[in-house]
Amino acid sequence: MKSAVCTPDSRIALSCQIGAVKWLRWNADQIAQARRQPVAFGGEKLPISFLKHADEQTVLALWTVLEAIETADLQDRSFDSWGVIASPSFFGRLSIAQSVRRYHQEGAWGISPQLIPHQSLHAMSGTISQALRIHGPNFGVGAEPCAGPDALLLAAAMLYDGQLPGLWLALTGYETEWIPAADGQHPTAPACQALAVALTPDENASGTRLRFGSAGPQAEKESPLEMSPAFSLELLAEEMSDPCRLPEGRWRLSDSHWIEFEAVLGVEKNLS
Amino acid sequence: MKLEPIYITGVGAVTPLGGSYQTITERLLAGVSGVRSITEFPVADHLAQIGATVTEFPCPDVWDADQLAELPRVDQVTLVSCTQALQDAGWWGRRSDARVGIVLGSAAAWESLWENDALTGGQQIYQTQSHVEPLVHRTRQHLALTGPAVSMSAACASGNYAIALARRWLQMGWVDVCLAGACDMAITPMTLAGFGNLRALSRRNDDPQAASRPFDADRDGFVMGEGGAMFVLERAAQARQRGTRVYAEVAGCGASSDAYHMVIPSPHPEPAIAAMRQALTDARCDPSDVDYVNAHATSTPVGDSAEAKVLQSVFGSHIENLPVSSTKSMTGHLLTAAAAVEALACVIALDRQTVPPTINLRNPDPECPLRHVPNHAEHHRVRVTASNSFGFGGSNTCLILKAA
Repeated sequence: MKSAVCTPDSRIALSCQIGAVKWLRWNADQIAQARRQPVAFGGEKLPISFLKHADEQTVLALWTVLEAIETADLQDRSFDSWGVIASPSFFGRLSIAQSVRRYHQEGAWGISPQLIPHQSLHAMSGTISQALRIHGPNFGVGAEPCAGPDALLLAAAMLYDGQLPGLWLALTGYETEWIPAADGQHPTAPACQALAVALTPDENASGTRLRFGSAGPQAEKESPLEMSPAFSLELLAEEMSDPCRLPEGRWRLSDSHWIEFEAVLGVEKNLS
Repeated sequence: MKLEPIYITGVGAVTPLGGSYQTITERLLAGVSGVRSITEFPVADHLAQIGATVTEFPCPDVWDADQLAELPRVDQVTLVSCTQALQDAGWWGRRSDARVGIVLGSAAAWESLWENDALTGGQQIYQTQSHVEPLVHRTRQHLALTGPAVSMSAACASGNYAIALARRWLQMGWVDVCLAGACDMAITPMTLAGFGNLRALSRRNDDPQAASRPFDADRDGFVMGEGGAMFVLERAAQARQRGTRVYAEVAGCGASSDAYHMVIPSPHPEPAIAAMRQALTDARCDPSDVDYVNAHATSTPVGDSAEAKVLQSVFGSHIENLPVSSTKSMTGHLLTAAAAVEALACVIALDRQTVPPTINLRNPDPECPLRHVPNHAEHHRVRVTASNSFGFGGSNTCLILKAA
């Protein structure tokens, strides 16, 4: 059957540049404070209630993107035709728990009309798209812990044909699993962290590259990828938050796909 | 960049109109409504009490019916649709010979799992879930696939995105075969209440089968549906070499965002127009090449007329002779799974050279001056189809399928 498979045995499928990167780790109070802050981009302020109904991870993801823009000095740049991919972890869990309680107590009347628009997987990417006035594609990925690799696998697909001028990737998750309490007295949320990365097509310019690769069909059959480190948002965020250090080695996205980072020699790294 | 054509070689679906390609085809072209009163849970205090529920759950012969029935309903729909598609494409028995990936549109698998569990006395949402595999990985394991598996959501546009992304993975050489589509069993008490309280749903509770009436002047909101559709995609050369049946070429995909509001569609038609034009360009099609449009048209007062303006702008004078229908009139709005099921409607139109109707279209809205297909299917030459799907979060997508 293998002979019938017409696959290009690609190793490096795609190389792109990291135009900006930011990692934030905020506690519940910091997120609550940020929710009330006016969101502004490109000289325009969004309504003060813009993040009122947003999930905590959405709030942090948006602010991480905004700080990445500021750090990379991209405030004057338009992201109009860019795309957004966002991958939260157990998105909307607290709201679902609260809604379950209200449904038990009040029936259908008790369910907020904001639940579905703001607590479903599309909400984080949609919010970033709206805030940055991004008119390219936007979608959410995964919604479970460790879905970062899945988001990267789809980011590669989005960038492959060179049509998108850039893509914002936002990955979020809690440091430890935040489990709602059955009695409604929810424990304080653990710290939430977010990684925002701007990916642009590789134009051989200075900076840091992210390369996507595949083991190729034959190699996969003979020796599935075993590489260290396996992808971890925590580890990747930690490494990328250090301006002097690039994540080393190949990072496994699936049994047969990986990413690696490369700094162009003699060029100052464009990491915050 | 010249990229290899990608073909659809297998289909699988479980919808309110049935659980097999044959049944769905017959009912879709006969103008059968899948909408009924909801009896699966108490709805007396809900504003909307109707939905297009799945009532026929076929079990493929390779699965044990009792074991299948023990799975969460969304797992059942996903697994059955994937199995049907792989069997249809001739890959089921040989799936371990190739890297078979999955891109699954799935907006709220966790939410559904937690809600269904909690409303029946379970505690899952209050317990650690770190050990629970997500739906797409559960499906991958059941099917014993070796390619990458991801779930994604652009709300009601998810199915078009999933197909577009799977197409790219194939063109990149990252998979040999890819399952793509979307599944959503969203008719749950809280989701019905949420959309109801959003004032988005039809309240024609006393006449369920007439409730979903896209483009009709008397429409009053959408009707929720549930189910899913999955497709087997593979490279054209591989499909030709296998000599397998080809349903269609995934010729073009376009996507844009309104960047306007999380729920309300933009009053400006440009982003939706851009998505359609991008899809046509991707497919190397002129607007006049399109033979049928499956509209997003959900039966909401604002959305349908806004889409009509988009279609007029994209197709110009061709719109006067271009059949447009909304199959949501029969299936209801399957939310995350809508685009995938509507891609299936386009496949059926190509397969049968027949355009499915918009049922309940008795009094066309003058704000939607289109070449409708009211109430009865029409035989028509169909070589190229366009399927629009828009969603919360401002998503606009268009999928172009071509006869291969």
